[in-house]
This record gives sequence, structure tokens and C-alpha cells, in this order.
Amino acid sequence: MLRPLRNELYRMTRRWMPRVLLATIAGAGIVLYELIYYSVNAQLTLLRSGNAPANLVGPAGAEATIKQFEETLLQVRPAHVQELGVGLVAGLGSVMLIVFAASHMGTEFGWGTLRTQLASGLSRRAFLATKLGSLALFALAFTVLGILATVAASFLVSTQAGYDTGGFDLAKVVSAGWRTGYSFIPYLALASLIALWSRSSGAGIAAGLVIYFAESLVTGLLISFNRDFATIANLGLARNVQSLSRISVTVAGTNSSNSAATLPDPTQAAVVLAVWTVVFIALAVWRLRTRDITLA
Amino acid sequence: MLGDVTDDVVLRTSGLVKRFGELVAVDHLDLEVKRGEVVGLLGPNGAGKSTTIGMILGLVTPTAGRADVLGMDIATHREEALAGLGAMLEVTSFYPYLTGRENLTALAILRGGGARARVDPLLKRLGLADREKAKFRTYSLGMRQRLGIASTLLADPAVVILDEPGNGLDPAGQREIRELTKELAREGRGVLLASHLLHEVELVCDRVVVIQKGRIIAAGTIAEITRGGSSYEIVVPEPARAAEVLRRVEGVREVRATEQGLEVIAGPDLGHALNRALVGAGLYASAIVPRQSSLEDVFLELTEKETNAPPAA
Repeated sequence: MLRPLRNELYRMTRRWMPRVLLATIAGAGIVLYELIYYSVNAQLTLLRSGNAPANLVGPAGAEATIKQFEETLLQVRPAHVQELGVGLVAGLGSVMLIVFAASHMGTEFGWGTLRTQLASGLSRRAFLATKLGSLALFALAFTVLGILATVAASFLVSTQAGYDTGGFDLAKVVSAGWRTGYSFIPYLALASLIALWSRSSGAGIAAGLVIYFAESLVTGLLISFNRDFATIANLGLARNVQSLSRISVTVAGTNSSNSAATLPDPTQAAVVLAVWTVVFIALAVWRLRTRDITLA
Repeated sequence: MLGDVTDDVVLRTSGLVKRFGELVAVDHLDLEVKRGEVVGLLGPNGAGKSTTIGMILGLVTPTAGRADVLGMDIATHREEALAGLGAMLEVTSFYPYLTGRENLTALAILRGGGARARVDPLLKRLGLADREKAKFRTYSLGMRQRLGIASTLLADPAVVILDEPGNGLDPAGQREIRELTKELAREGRGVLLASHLLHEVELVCDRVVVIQKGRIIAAGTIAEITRGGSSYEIVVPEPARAAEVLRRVEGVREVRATEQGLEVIAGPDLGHALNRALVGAGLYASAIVPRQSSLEDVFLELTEKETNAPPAA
């Protein structure tokens, strides 16, 4: 089992895509923190000077808007990394990792290298285990690097702004990071399954992203109409991920009060996500085991 | 790995069948490759060569029958069996973002054992040392073929399968591959060579198996196969009557009219019998020229005959 994993990691470390993704998540953390700080600060300066355009001032008046913006700015402090920083990694990371997972699996079919690997004595189960194992390792490195980047960005921006850099709680950040990493897993398994089934990276990316965005959007809308829909929606992926990550704003921006109130409890969410992951992997094993790998 | 081979037969298929729905791609195929010999697997496109190789490698699941590599059933001992087998598939597939050396190294890591130490010698042996640092995607078709062959030898296998190794190679390259294939057999390996380059097969193979529609239609040494396909060019007066006479001679399979006279497809050593029959009928040939058929002649004759044959009831 170690030889296939070493083979996979040897190749993965020489491919551009994982390097680009790691650089992007690290860079994005810093850039987004800077953007949030500078854009909110600029608006705050306008509001304080009394020259803010009318559409910037909220219905509660200028004072309330200034207070709201000041609270938003304080989110960049290290004491809030487990919310803003980890939230950024969760939002961006899901999309990027779905793309990577589908590519990681689908290119083996597209390039025909699955045949070469299997003809060299690798078993189908070992192939799949290696693919998923290396994917999990990459997701771990990705999450850790992304969170480290946001921690660094938080200290950097807070220092620039003259904010208090105290209150950083490593345990809370690790806990939020762990829950975020866990919530990636079913999407990685799903994107891998679709890419394997369709033998195509493109199909895996497209279907993975559609499910990721559409499920969140549709369940959010349904529950905002009728809370009873939550019973069914809580058996899917999106709301369990939302519950586990405790991300304040969903990817589709549909976190209505109805929706938030009916989220499953985190333990149930973890179990449901684990069940889905097992189902996706079992389907992938079955499909790969029963498929003829034709030579042409 | 070579030292582990005690049985002479290193690769055997027994009653191998593969059906894709209604289509029978491989039909009860029995094949043997012994150590130290090169066996050619011939057949027109779609004859079932690649499917057969796929079943030997465990990539395609047989509908019936079995394939044994080094005495091990591929269905139950796939990993152990393939540890002693190297295969170059018809479409050589490697990672485009890796160099030639890196592709071999990655496979060597997968193979384990002493495979990693063989990367350098193989790059040299296959003439790839100069381009070992170039990405695979920049390789020409010929270089891809060479890398494919190098990858088959990483495990120092007792059995080598080469599927169309001459594809994309220039004449000098094809000659090198022929020499390499012979060398592999001399080293004691059993080689299964699937190729449509009949001249290549004729020069390299000890035995050939011709398949069509998944069935073996001829098998034997090159001499055995081509012996059955001798022909005679006969210049004779009254060719129509001569043809009637010759068709009655035992061993004659076909008589065709040509511009010069007649072409008689018959077994070997029948020249005297043909002459005696003509003389007996009062026909005196001015020339009876025996011609040994090439493998290509026989292959085309066999496969055309099979194509034109009515389907079995």
C-alpha cells in the first residue's frame, strides 16, 4: 500500500495544479483580509466625514451604520480568525478542492494512465485507495496552509490598523479548522465518484460544483417557505456542512432565520456526512471493480 | 524475476472468451508463450488482439476461460502474476507533465524491488538518455513507443507483451525494436508481440497465432504457416482446359487466370504433380514457377477467406 501512495505523491508534488491551488489559498487569505480592511475602512471614513452617498447609509441612520462597519472591521482581529479566516478557507476551499478532486481522478482516464498503472500490477482497490488517500492528504495540507495564511493576514492587518492583536485562541481555530476539513471530505468523495463514473475531469468538476451550489440554494429557499422541508434537507450535504462549520453565511447567501434555526445538530451532521462519504466511496469501488478498462 | 521461472510456459490462455453484449470479441482462445520464444499475435483491426491482451493483464474481465501468467491465474493472483510481466499497450499512456525519466521513476516506485536502479540503464538502452529531461508531452510518437518499451522492462519481467511496438518508428527504429525483441527472448523471456507489421513479425517471431473475429484461424511457426500457402505460376496453352485439369489434382485449393496464364494456390512440393496432370491431358506447360508465399500473402488469404465465409449456423 505504501508503494502506490509514494508513487502518487511523487507525481502529485511534480504537478502544477496542486502547487497553484496551495499558492492561491495562501494568497487569497492575505488578499481578502486586506481587501476587507481597506474597503470597509474607506466606507467608514466616508461615513464619518459626512460625505457618504445616500445608498451607503443604512435605514437605521448613519450612526448605526458606522457602528455596524466598526464591528465588521473588528472581525479581522486574530481573536476572530476561527470565524472569518476559517470561513474564507471553507468557502473558497470547497470549490477549489472539488475542482482538484475531479481533476485528480478524471485525468487518469483522460490521459489513459489508469491503464498503465493497472498494467504495472496495481490493483483497482489500491488505485482508488491511493487516489482518495492522497486527496485527503492534499486537503489537509490545503486547509492547514489556508488557515495559517489567514492567521498571518489577521495579525498583519490588525498591526497595520493598530488593533489589539490579543485574544487569538489556537484551540478554537484548530477546532474550526478540523470541522471545516471534515466537511470537505464528502464533496471530495462525490467529485471523485462523478469523475470516475464519467471518466472525465470536466464532468466531475461541473457536477460537483452544481451539486455544491444548487443544493445549498434550493434547500435554503424551500426552508424559507416552509420549515418542514428542513427534515428532508437535513439528510443532504449542504445543511450538514453548514451545521458543522457554523459558517454564518452560506455559499449561496441563503441563510435565512428559518434556515438557521432548523439546522441539524453537529453530531448528527457529522454522522450524515460520514454516511454520504461511505456511500460515494462504495459506489466508486463498485464502479471501478466492475468496469472493463479497454485499451483503445 | 527471470530466475523464478521454472515452467517453460510463462503465459497461457485457456478457452478465453469475451462477449460485449451480442458481440463475441474473443472466442475460446488458447494461447501459449514459452520462455525464450517470441509469439506473434496477428489479426486485422477488431480481431480481438487488444481485448485478449486486456484479459491477460486483468484490465478486461473474461466472460469465460482463464489466463495464467507464470502459472498463476490472473483472476485470483493478479498482483503476483503481473509482478513478473511487463506490458506495453498499443496506446502508450504516460503523465504529460512528467519527464521521461520521472515517468519511469514513478512506475519504478510502484514496481518496487530493484526497478529504480533500472531506470538509467533502460533510458540508455532505449536511446532516450538525451531526452530524459524533456516532458512526455513533447515526445514524438517514436519516443513515446521507446518509453513504453522501457517501462515494460522495469520489473525485469519473465513475460513481455508488446502491442504494436513498431508504431510511429522509422525503419531504423523498427529494426532496433526487432533486435531488442530478439534479445529479450535470448535473455530467456517469453514475448507476446501483437503487430500489424507482418514483415516485422516474420523477422522476429518463432511462432504466430492468427486470429479473426476472436477465433484462432491459423497457428504455428512461420514456416508451417507459409508452407501451406505455396503458389505456382503456370504458362500453358489452353488455359481454360488446363484449369479444369489442375482443379482435379489433390492438394490444389484454387486456380485463377492471370495475364500470363494461371496461378495455382496449392500445398508445397506439388510442382511435379501439376506437371504430370497437364502432360497426361496433352497440355505442355512452357513454365511452372513455384512461389513461396510470404506471411503477408498467407495472412491476407486467411483473413479474406474468413471474412467471406458464411456465418456458422
